[in-house]
Amino acid sequence: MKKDKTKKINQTEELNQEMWTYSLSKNKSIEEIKEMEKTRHFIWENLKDLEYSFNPFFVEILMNKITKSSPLHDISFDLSFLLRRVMIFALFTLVFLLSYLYTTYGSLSELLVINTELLNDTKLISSILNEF
Amino acid sequence: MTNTKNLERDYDKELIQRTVSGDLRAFTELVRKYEKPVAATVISMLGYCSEADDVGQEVFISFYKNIEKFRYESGVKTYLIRIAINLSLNELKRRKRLNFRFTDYKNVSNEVANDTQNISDNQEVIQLAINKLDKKMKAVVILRLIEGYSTKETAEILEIPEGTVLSRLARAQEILREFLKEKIRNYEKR
Repeated sequence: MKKDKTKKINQTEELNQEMWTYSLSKNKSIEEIKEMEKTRHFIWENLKDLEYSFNPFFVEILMNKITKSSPLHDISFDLSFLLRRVMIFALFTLVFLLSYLYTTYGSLSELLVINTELLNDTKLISSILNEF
Repeated sequence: MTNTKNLERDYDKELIQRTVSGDLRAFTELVRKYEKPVAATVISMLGYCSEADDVGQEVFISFYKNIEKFRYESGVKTYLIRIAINLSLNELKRRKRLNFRFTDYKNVSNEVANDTQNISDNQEVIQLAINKLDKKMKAVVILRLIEGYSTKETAEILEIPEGTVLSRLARAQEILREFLKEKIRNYEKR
């Protein structure tokens, strides 16, 4: 931190020289240049002790995000994403099938009766076939 | 001085290589090392807000994603500050779009002059005045004047000629002087 402050002081002195040279080359009056220097000085004096920092868990949150976005996580993310899609597809297929059967056979109980009849018919056919 | 810089550069290089080979602890070290200067730049540009933290995170995530492509043409700090400035400028653009506000110096000057009379804290007044600057000038003021980067470093970060850094700074100072003249007068009287 001390190194940073020393660097800043050096930079302010360097900037004063640069701004004097630049302003003189732009034909600014000495008074104007001095006013600018006062403005810089005012800003420096008031902001020199100001320190900014992110929230205290900045690094932890960041590293958590980075770990989650690592290639290994991408695969698991893709798998869970795929699984979710498959489940949604299966659910839709089931709903579609049930609604199709319902509209075809009128009601679920009727459907069950037909199915039982169909089962009986199948048994009958298989018993006839067995006779042969 | 050059030796210290070279040592620092070599150490950064080692940390980058370790990160590329999958050592996340090395990247954490890089983040801890450069968190402060990135925070100073982003918060100076955007002020203390939740977006500042988000932009800070984006800076390091973008660095991590592109770390294999890092060519050491500039130092890590310069590279990170460049990303920080660009992302902060994007955030300011986004805010501007949301607010539908356009900077008009004449109006802003009056607006700030009125605001500054009511604020007793010089730090707050200066920050208010800097926030009202055009975003390109603001970036120069923050890097060169406040954060103490050299003109060459500022030019490198913003990818503009050194002469442009000085001309933007000179123009920004004129505007700031207008905003702050009352406060500077009072400050000198003390």
